[in-house]
Amino acid sequence: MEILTTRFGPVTINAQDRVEFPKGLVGVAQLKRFALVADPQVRGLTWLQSTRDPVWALALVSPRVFVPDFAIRTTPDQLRPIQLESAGDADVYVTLNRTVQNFTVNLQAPIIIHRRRSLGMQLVLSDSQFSVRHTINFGAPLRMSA
Amino acid sequence: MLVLSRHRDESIIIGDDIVITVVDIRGDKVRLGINAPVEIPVHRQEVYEAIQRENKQAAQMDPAAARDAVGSNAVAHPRDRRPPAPS
Repeated sequence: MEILTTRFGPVTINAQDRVEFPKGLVGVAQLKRFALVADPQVRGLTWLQSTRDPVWALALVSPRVFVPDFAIRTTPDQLRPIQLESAGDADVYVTLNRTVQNFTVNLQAPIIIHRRRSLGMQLVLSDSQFSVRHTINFGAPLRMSA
Repeated sequence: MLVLSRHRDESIIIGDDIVITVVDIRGDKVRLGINAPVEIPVHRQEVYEAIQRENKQAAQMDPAAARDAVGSNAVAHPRDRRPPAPS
């Protein structure tokens, strides 16, 4: 099917790219249907694009890329909304954001996707040392501009 | 707002299946135990609001900026592409 997006124009998505968030996102419960859209230009960047609201898209990245020691402690109960029985079935992402000076990732509320069931949720880590706005450091030791 | 007084170890019930118990009171801090069905998420209010704000703001992310962040970092971690699994 084709969906409309403000960032990428019309995008064709396959059935396996669709993901339903039964609870929506935290504080944004009305948006439940999304598509996972790989960024057309950069690897490792995925967009959680609402299929109903073209404006709504969150940039998702793998937390391990930015925070190597990031690990989630949770219980099967917390993951029941996406019927996750095995940790191996989960894709874990965090949302990317920017402040005036920095890029940040939301480590306190990662996005968990059960790819096989096409279900997703935003998990809130309650006793976490990880913050909603974790500043990411650019680890590249060498940067050159043209 | 409905205001109820409770002692330690006393509870209130909301609806048929949400039970909130005063577990401990120390100074100006109250510890609450919450029993609710799994489909009812329970959050500290300030955490909920912070994440809500963050979600709304992150949804404004511009693709060029996101590519900058991810692209430049990918140089540092070219191998680590797999997302971690929850423990």
